[in-house]
Amino acid sequence: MNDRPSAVELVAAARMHLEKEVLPALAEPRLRFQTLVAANVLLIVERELALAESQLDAEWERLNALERSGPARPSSLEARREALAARRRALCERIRRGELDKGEAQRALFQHLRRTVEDKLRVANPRFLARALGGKSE
Amino acid sequence: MAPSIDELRHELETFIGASAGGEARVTGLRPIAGGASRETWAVDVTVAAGPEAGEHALVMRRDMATTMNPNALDRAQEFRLLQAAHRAGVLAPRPRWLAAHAAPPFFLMDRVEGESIGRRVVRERELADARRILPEQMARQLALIHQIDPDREDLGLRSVPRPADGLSPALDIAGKMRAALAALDVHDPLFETALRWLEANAPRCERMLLLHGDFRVGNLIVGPEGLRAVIDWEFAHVGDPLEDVAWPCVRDWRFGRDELRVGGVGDLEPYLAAYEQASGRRVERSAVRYWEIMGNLKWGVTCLVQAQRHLSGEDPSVELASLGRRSAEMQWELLDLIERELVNGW
Repeated sequence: MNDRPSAVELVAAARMHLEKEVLPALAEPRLRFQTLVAANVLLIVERELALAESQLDAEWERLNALERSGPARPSSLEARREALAARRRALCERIRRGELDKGEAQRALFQHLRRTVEDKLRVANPRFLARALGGKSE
Repeated sequence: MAPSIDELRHELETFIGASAGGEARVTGLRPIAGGASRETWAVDVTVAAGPEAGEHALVMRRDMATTMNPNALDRAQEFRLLQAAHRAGVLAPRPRWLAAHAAPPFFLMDRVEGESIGRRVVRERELADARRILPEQMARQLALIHQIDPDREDLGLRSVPRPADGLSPALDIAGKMRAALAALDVHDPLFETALRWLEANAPRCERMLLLHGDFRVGNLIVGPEGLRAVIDWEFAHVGDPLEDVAWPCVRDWRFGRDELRVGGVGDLEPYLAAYEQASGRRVERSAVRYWEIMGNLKWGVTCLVQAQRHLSGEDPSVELASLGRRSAEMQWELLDLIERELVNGW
């Protein structure tokens, strides 16, 4: 298969180029800001490449627990993404029907939602997550 | 393609010359960061003769040729709103001239110098004194804005968006957010849960009033002595005044100073008390918390909508793309706030 660097290593190389070579050479505020955003986007990709598979599996397991069911997990990553999208959609329908409005079902739902959004933030903005969980300001 | 800076200068000199009744010369013209859907320019102009003779420091706002947000006012509406706000004593930049028939339409208003970037407003040392009085000033400005009657014929504000017939402002917005998610084909259990809670607990709205619609740190111009101007009026609409009151409290608009609930500059209770005093209306605390939750939903969904502008190819921008992943921050806050309400027995 492909030689090294790996995908995550390549993205990191591009990000470091932006941070160490491009940014110091930029004076125009708007362009600087856009470039900072671009570097941060690459950092998000690095984290997603590292975490995506285990996070998808964890979401699959949590949905099994929430629905008390255990459908066969597709083997390919792409098929797993599609199956998860369908399961999320089904969960939305249950929420809309009011099946998870009370008691233990509601507690389990909120726990699932919390774990899910925490995983999103581990990719998108781990600093926000640390701040939010620690209840501290920047 | 956007017109060149020379074309813009020529267009401005012709228009201002005709409007001011004296030959106009543009001596300075530079783009400034505005909203994402319009161009904003700082314009310095000298008018040679007539009643407006002299130098003017102005801001020009016009729609970009490509994008139009259906929920935003057009420039002619925004101009009339600025006129009404300015006359009502609101610290709004004085609107000067509207070019309603230009393509695309634009208007000019007085330029107010000062800091508007949120992260700086909540941190800069020189603004420490301003921050002490800012929450109360914000409350007073909101009360003034909420006194403008959008139904008065002479103000020309009848076309400002308002809730669909028979819907409370909260249910109207919840419906719009549902529609926005459906249009994006987003099926997210967290948003679904939040919408269900917001629909089940919508507060009664005593009186629908004219709202600024995006009143928060970041849309205020601040100097060392305090508030100088309230800007960015394009999301004005008719609704529940507590929507405006709660909006600057949304966590993201605290710019990292999370513990200061009002825009990263002050505590909630003195701000609400100042609003009650200035408006003469009692504020239901639970309704403010409700609207803060709604604000997080609105901004979390809007992030996805903004990312779609990039994804559709309509407005390619890494900044818009990155907003899609910022949505998770508002989702976390949304869940946390709703959970608190459930624990405390809303």
